[in-house]
Amino acid sequence: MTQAMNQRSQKILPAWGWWHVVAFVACFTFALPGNAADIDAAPAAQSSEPGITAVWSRGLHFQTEGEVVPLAEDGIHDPDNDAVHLLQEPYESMADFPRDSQGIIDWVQTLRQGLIDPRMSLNGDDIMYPVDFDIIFKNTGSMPHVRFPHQQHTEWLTCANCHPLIFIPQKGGNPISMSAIIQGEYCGVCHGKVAFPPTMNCGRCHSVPNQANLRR
Amino acid sequence: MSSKIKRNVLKSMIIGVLAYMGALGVPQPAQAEYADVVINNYADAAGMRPAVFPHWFHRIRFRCKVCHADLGFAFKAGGNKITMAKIIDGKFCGACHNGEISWSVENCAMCHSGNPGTPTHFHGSTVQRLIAPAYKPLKATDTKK
Ligand code: HEC
Ligand code: HEC
Ligand code: HEC
Ligand code: HEC
Ligand code: HEC
Ligand code: HEC
Repeated sequence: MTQAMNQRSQKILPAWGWWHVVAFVACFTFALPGNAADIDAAPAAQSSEPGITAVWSRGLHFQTEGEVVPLAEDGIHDPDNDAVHLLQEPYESMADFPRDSQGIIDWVQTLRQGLIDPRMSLNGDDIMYPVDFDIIFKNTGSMPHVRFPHQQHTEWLTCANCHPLIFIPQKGGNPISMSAIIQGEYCGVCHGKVAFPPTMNCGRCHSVPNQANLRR
Repeated sequence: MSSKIKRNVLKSMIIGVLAYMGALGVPQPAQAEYADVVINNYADAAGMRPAVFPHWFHRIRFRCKVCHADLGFAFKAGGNKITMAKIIDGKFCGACHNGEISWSVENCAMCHSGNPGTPTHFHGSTVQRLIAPAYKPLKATDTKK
């Protein structure tokens, strides 16, 4: 798997080699009962497909730009529950939130542009203590290196959310790999659940040019 | 582009399109939104709809830190063993859904809005979709609060 990702992904975006793997996994998951089929495997299939805007084709933990699925039809809310119409519709609420290059809501920009001002404590009487230092992960094969920015994370989270349970606070102290991330460990504790997913948008993490790359 | 790359791109597109069309053929419900957590350790058994917790809605109003550090929600769908007794006692959801910070616990159907029978899971997460449904129901012995 690692090999496949290393070969071709950095030059041709979106990483085709990677999508081979995902497409394969996707086809495989079709066969498994009770497992939502994985359609983000289809790089050619964008949500701009005419006529199906009301169908959430991907079933991810986010909707990309243009996908509109009412809560009552999203598959986990019970349409027979009257209160479902009292709940706010996400696509209305977040209509003007900025999105990243993959059409996923960019919460970092949403926060920075002041579109939202989430409380920093229960009553809003405390402040966050963001720290501004980056960790560069270099064990990325031929992919660009990974920049982990403490600043953007500590605007949302506190140190104890990550240290020491998810990451030992020591540079190089954690055996992070892409497959661990996709399995929900390390960065994958949040990315792929609440934060933008590791299977799209490689460049948001892999953002630092890599010598091995430049030589090609 | 070299012809090898072109061939590869073409190949992936064909696979992609096939996978896509294949998936359209499979009846597939549209699914929930923006990091919803379905919590159903006890609700079904108690004859209530499962609770649905929408992250997108709450993160507009609170930083992650408020719930995951100050209020002590562990990073694990279903892992907090939330019960109504604890909520009414002011813990978990009840720290806010108490008629002060947010509407109170009487609005059962606002939280208990899930499709009956939906297991506890983090909706649409990469793990759940690509690897395996990672959530086992709590054992009967865990039900004793
Ligand atoms: C940190 C405080 C806080 C906690 C903890 C909290 N909520 Fe909320 N919740 C709110 C606020 C504030 C609102 C918005 C109330 C309003 O609009 O008046 C809200 C609204 C909601 C809504 C309605 C969303 C909509 O579309 O209108 C649901 C459903 C909900 N919460 C479920 C839960 C559940 C389930 C839990 C526990 C697992 C929980 N909440 C924990 C603060 C909280
Ligand atoms: C959430 C951030 C994040 C995203 C998104 C991400 N990666 Fe990574 N990736 C990492 C981290 C962290 C490492 C580990 C680097 C280290 O240990 O030095 C890594 C390592 C890798 C490696 C090195 C080998 C391995 O398996 O560890 C490859 C190849 C790789 N990523 C490919 C990708 C591709 C392709 C994508 C897009 C589909 C992607 N990554 C998206 C964070 C990310
Ligand atoms: C989102 C998760 C996250 C949060 C929140 C976070 N960190 Fe980190 N921290 C990391 C990661 C990832 C590393 C790199 C570990 C590695 O290299 O394996 C790191 C590394 C560190 C290091 C080691 C740096 C070095 O050069 O060895 C220190 C010190 C640190 N963090 C302090 C903090 C403090 C203080 C806070 C709170 C203000 C904080 N961190 C919040 C994820 C986080
Ligand atoms: C505890 C949760 C958590 C963990 C663990 C975590 N992140 Fe994040 N990360 C977030 C959140 C929340 C955001 C805000 C964006 C969003 O929600 O999509 C974010 C945003 C980012 C951004 C975007 C910054 C920007 O300016 O757009 C990068 C890059 C990133 N994370 C990399 C990483 C890497 C690499 C790791 C692992 C070493 C990691 N994160 C681990 C929660 C986390
Ligand atoms: C703020 C959100 C919220 C509200 C409002 C709420 N619940 Fe719950 N309730 C939950 C959560 C979360 C659980 C845990 C679900 C699980 O694990 O199965 C739960 C569990 C339950 C359970 C099963 C576990 C137990 O404690 O017995 C019952 C029964 C229940 N609720 C009834 C009600 C009734 C009746 C009301 C209205 C008076 C109500 N709930 C209002 C969030 C809520
Ligand atoms: C209003 C409270 C609240 C806020 C704010 C909140 N969460 Fe959560 N989070 C929850 C609840 C409730 C659960 C489910 C816990 C359960 O089922 O017992 C959860 C579960 C999670 C999980 C568990 C995923 C898994 O593996 O099952 C992660 C990761 C997570 N949240 C990350 C975040 C991040 C990152 C943020 C900030 C962008 C955030 N949360 C903001 C309440 C909150």
